[in-house]
Amino acid sequence: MVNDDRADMIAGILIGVAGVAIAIYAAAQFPMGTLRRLGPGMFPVGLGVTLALLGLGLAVKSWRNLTLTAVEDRFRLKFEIKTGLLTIAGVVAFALLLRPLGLVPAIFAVVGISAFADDRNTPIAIAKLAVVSAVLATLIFKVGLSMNFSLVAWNWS
Amino acid sequence: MFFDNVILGLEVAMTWNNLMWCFVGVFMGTLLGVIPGIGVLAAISMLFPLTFQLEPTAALIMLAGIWYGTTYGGSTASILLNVPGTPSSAITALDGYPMAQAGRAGVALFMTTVASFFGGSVGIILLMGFSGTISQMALQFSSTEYFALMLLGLIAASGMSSGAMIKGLIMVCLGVLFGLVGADIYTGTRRFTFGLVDLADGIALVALALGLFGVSEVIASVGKISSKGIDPESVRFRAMKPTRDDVRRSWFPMIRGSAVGSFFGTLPGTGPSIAAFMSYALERRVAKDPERFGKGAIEGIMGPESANNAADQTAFIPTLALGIPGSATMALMLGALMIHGIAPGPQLMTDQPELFWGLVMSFWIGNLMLLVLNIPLIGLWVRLLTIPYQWLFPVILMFVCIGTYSVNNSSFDVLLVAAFGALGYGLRHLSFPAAPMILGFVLGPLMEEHFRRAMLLGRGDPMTFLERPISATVLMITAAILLWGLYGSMRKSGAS
Repeated sequence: MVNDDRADMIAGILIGVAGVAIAIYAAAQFPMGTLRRLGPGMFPVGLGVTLALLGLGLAVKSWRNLTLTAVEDRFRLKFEIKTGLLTIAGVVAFALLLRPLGLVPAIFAVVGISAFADDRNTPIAIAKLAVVSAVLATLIFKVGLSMNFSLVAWNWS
Repeated sequence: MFFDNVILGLEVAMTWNNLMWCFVGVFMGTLLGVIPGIGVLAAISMLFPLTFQLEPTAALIMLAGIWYGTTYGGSTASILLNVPGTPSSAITALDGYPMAQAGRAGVALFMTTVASFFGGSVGIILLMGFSGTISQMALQFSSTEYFALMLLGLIAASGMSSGAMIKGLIMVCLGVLFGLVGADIYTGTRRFTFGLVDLADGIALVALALGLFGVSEVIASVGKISSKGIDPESVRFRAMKPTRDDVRRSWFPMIRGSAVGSFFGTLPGTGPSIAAFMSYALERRVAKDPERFGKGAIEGIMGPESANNAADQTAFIPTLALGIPGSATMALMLGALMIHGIAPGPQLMTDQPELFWGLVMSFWIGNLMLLVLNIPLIGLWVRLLTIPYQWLFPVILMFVCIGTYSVNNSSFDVLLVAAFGALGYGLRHLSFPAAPMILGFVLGPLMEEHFRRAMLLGRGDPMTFLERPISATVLMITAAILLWGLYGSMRKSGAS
């Protein structure tokens, strides 16, 4: 974990803005009710205001730090963009393919896509891994727990 | 009365069905705990969907088994790989790994199992002794007190978690916000659903938990964990026999560790990780030769391992007796209860004694199973650790996907997992702690309900929270923690 004051400041500002937006949206959309009978709007508005204050607090705090630390002393944020994208893409592909194509193709998608996130995995190893995973999942969820999946389907509706 | 309950609990826990699910829970928990990169929360949420087909008692027994099973398993990875399987066993690596390097892995594994059992037993005894009294007291609580207690839990959780308190508070608020999505309980107004039918029933707890703790954990671990060669000789059965000196040195750390762990387990916001850490610090302080620590001192694994297991058990005291979870994991347990249609709270013990006592007695059985099972199974866990992580993580993701889908047969929930995974990874990278978000998610809607009811009972006067002595005291403690935490985090930032 790293602390980057610039990132914290941006995060603080974003959260502050989100808080204000939530408060305004909730106040406009949901009735506030009376003090005695609080409506569905009261709690979200309070929450939005709290978030806005906390975001502001974080932004102010990190801004103060920014002025105190020299540029070269700051940590640098490094996101594993490739890993993140491939992993998320695999999960999304699973979600989108499960109904139309069935369990086995969806497993090929999630295993096949996400496995590329690690450079040590070769295409052949990934293919083997996908087959093994599909067999494993079929045995556990279909045979063992008899859950309601179709293994292969053709159902684009 | 007490013995009647114990007998009742044993009867429930000893049915074949419950014994089997207890076994499944501790076995799967240990298995997932051994694998680095899967923490308790990810383990519980991955196996969560399996429990929906079970009746509530069996479901809870299994979930609890996973919970203390992961703590047992986590120490295995800590000792053998120097990579903690779960955060609560991170401390164990400090002295456990040097022991393994010195060829004493078998001893370390055996002794941690003993320490875990010892700490777990102390925790269970306290749970049995105190839950009744506390829930008797809590029967007089009204919504006002519940709101105050829940607020205390949330504030304490954000203050105790690693990093700045303000970030913890932000995560709590975001969690509450996600918890509010869906139909309002009093009026049925759909809030923050943006016209999506899939959100009308709210965000699924499993989707949030698996996104935050499953997917984002995987993203953070890929390419970072490499399996190392482990000498199979060092974990043979014969290599597990501790020396007389080991045994002599272990007694007091176990007792002290259990006491520390039991205390921190019950507090809101603290949990096994903090308990283990405190116990390690304590052992170092009382040791005559503190320089041995970090180089394979057996006290350095015995204390923390009994502490984290004791905390695992005592954490159930507020969760079961009050219905207020002190940690994210307990929030998941509570979520499981609510999904099964059981209202958590002090009535639980009187209305459903078979559930409460069955669960408690299953803890003994589960801990015994772990003691008996773990020793012969260590070889299996070691072999599991030699599977390269680059093969393991796609399979973990597959289980996450299938698990989420099977809860509601909803592809939308799987998309939510992806979204929360991305969000969780981003926030984790910015050092926002994820656990307070789960706690906020589960407690948020309950808090709103109690707040609105308290205002109704107090005839619309917010002073009702300060006029009732218990709620006023709790709110004062909450305010003190809040001010202390915020002051500390502001001052620290100025100094650094």
